[in-house]
This record gives sequence, structure tokens and C-alpha cells, in this order.
Amino acid sequence: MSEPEFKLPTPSARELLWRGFFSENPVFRLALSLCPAVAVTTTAKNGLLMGIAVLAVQVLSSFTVVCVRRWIHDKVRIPVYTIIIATWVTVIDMCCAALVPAVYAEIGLYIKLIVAFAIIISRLELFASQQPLGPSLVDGFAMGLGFAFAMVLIGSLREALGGGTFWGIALLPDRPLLFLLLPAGGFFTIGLLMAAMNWIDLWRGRRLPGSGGGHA
Amino acid sequence: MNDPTNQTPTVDRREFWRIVRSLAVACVLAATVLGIVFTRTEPSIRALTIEREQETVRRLLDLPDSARIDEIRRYAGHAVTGYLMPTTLRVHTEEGSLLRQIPVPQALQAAPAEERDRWVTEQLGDAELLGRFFIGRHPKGTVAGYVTEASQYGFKSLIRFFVALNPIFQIQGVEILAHEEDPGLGAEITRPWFRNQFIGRSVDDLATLAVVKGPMPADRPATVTADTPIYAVTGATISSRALTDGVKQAVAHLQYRVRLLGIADGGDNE
Repeated sequence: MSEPEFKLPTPSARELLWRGFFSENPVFRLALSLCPAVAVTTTAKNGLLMGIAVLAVQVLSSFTVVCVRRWIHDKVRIPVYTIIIATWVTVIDMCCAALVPAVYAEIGLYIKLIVAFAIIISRLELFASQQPLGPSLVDGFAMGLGFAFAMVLIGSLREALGGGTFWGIALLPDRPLLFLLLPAGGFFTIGLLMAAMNWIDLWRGRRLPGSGGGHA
Repeated sequence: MNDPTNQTPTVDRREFWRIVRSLAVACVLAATVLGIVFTRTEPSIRALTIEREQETVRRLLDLPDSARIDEIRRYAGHAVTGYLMPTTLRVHTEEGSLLRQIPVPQALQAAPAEERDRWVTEQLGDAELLGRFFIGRHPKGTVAGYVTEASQYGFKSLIRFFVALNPIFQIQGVEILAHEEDPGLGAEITRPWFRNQFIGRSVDDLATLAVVKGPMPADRPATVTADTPIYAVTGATISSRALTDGVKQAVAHLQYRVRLLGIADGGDNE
């Protein structure tokens, strides 16, 4: 419909990057997309590949939403956002399979999962549908980077402590915590990293949010 | 519509059509983009899949790039089994006797698998693809080995794998194509140390092959004998047993089919 008014102040690029990485990190702060994050972060490499794929889909979807939002009827915006995300995910899936088969063999399974990632649709709804093009792209990029950072961090910890390797290279003589490789271990890892983030926040002199770390 | 006493909400028709239009346009645009990308990428995706498969077969059988790989596709029809060879479709009864042979039209011999499947369905009236195996041939045409595709339920879901055999049905390699076993546990069956335990086993060895709980002893001899067991992955005995059972069945079925089609005797040396 008509172009929405920019009611919210537009944050600076630096502020947006900080939000994506730390203060509003998709995994550790917003607690979004945890199930797929747990499913793929058994190694650092898997985490990174997934992070890059999410980054690409986030930026492309934010860009598309900014371009077409004036024609999207307000009552069906969420279904239309879903269609946009699903289209980009499928396009990336097909192009990867045709152009970079070696990479696709590694991440093919995960790319399709991105359609259901709550973080992407939440950025479209909260940011790209209300802000100008430039900041929307920066926001998509920052959130994608923040997600990739979280995935690599979780993947490295699980791979090192659960599998005794790092980037596929043997690190430890045995596997100290094999259980971290299982889904439950993934949630423990994320929980501990969330606690660490909160601790850093306290140390920086901030107060913890009253309702806990994640979204209600 | 603005009357507050009106209990049933009336539908604003113009609003309704605007919503419909908005959604319809989004769907049509998305479908157009996907259609264009699909037609551009599909041929190379299909070519890459076939190429990767042929490469795997060649590697498992240790064949040079010049070697020919024939694919045999097996179908279930009405109380018959169809075997699609490179140039003929052989129709057998379920007991195994040959009913008839239909030559494959020249144009179809190099056609995509889906088109050949459709042709077989027409010939048999009704057909469902059951499985496939590959024959690796030396440049002269003699059989260099077989690779059969099979699957077996593991701990979580189907494990899909290739078993490669030499012409006298000794295992030359096992390769896991797809699985959903747990990383670090069941997924260890994809590691060479585990799957290479099958190498060198003959059909007779497989009949009595046992799976024992690991770990593998350090002094396990390099060459297997008839009674060397398969040492299971620690913590993943079910996955290890499943793959072993799957390999046993796949080899038995392949041997039966190769004899049935007369491939080993050079009878169907197409």
C-alpha cells in the first residue's frame, strides 16, 4: 500500500552492527532460530557455512522487502514475506547445486531449512518493512553476521569438547564431552554461552533484563 | 458498516479483492522467478548428479576415466520384474524365468532417467523403480566389477549406500551415500576405518560374518579371513549391525540378479 512513515529513528550503521553481534544477537539475545542452530552446529565448519547462507538470504530478503513493501497489503504482509524468503532460499539452493556442487554437497541439506528461520522474518517485520533501504541492508548484514558468529562459536565449542577436533583437525587425544554433539548438548552449549553474554553485560555495568535473556 | 450496533462484521469487498490481488501477484512473481532459475539450472544439476555417481563407481572399482559404466534399472510391474539394460528391457517373471526382451529405441538409450522410466512404464503397463546397479567394464567390454545401490534402516532412518564387488563377488568397497545417524556416534559408520572392514569379504564369508562390539583390537591383521568379525563403532552397535545386514543382503541380491541376467558369462555383453 502506501509507503509507511518512518516513525522510528534510524540507527547508525555502527549501532546496527553492535546490535547484530552483541546487544541483539539473534541466537544469544533474541533466542531465535535455536532448533536449526542446534541441528547444524556439530562442527565449526558447518556453523560457518550455515551462517553464510543465512546472511545471504537475510540481506536479499531485506532488500526485496524494502523494494516491494509499498505494494504489499498490510494484512497479508507476513505470508508475502514468507514467499519472498522461500523464493530466495530456493533460488540459492538451485544455483548452489548447479554452480558449486562441492559446496552444495556440504550445505545442501541445511539451505532448505532457512525458510523456517524466525530471525529472518523477524528482521523483515521489525526493520526492513519500516526503514529506508541503506539501513535495512546494514541491519540484514549485521544480523546475518551476528548469526554466523554465534553459529561458529557454538560449532567450535561443540566440535572441540564433543569431538576433540577443530576444523576437522585432531585437537585432543579423546572426546571429553561426547554428549555435546547430541541435540541436548547443543542446547546446553547455547545456554552456557547466553549466561556468558549476560555475565559480560553485567561486567560492562549493565543491568540484566527483568524477564530473562530471551524473548517471552 | 460504521454502525456500532451491527453485530455481524461485514466484509469490505474492495479490501477483500485487494488482499487477494496482493497475494496472487506475489505468488505469480515468485513462481516466475523460480521457473526461470529452475530451467536455467536443472540441466547442469542433472548432469552433475550423473557425473558424480559415475565418478564414485569408477573410484570404488578402481577404473580409469575411459572405462564404461552401464546402469541397470530394476522395476516392479504386474507380477513381473523389468530389468532395463543399456539396449534391451528384459521382462522376467517373479520366479526368474525370462518372458520377453524388448529393444530400447535408439533415441531413448542416452535419454534422462525419467524418460526411460516413463518408457518402461508404457511397456510393462505399470512399473515402479525398485533399485539400480552398475556394471563397470574394461575398455574391451569385459566385466571389471559391479556396484549396487541399496538401503537399510539404521538407528534413525534409512542408510543409503553403494557396495562395490569384483567379478568374483569379493567386496571392493562400501560407500555411504546418505544417512541421518547421530554425528559422533552412528555417523562414524561413514569413516574409512569402519566401512573398509568389509573389503575382501566373499559371498561365503558374508554368510557367517558376525558383528562384535568394539573397539577394534590393535593387532587386527590387515588381511581378513573368513572368521574376522566386523568390529562395531563404540556406542553405535545398532548402526554398525544395520550396515552389515544391508551389505549382506545387497551382495546376495546382486549375485542373484547378475546370474539371472547372464552378465557374468558375457551372455549380455552389450
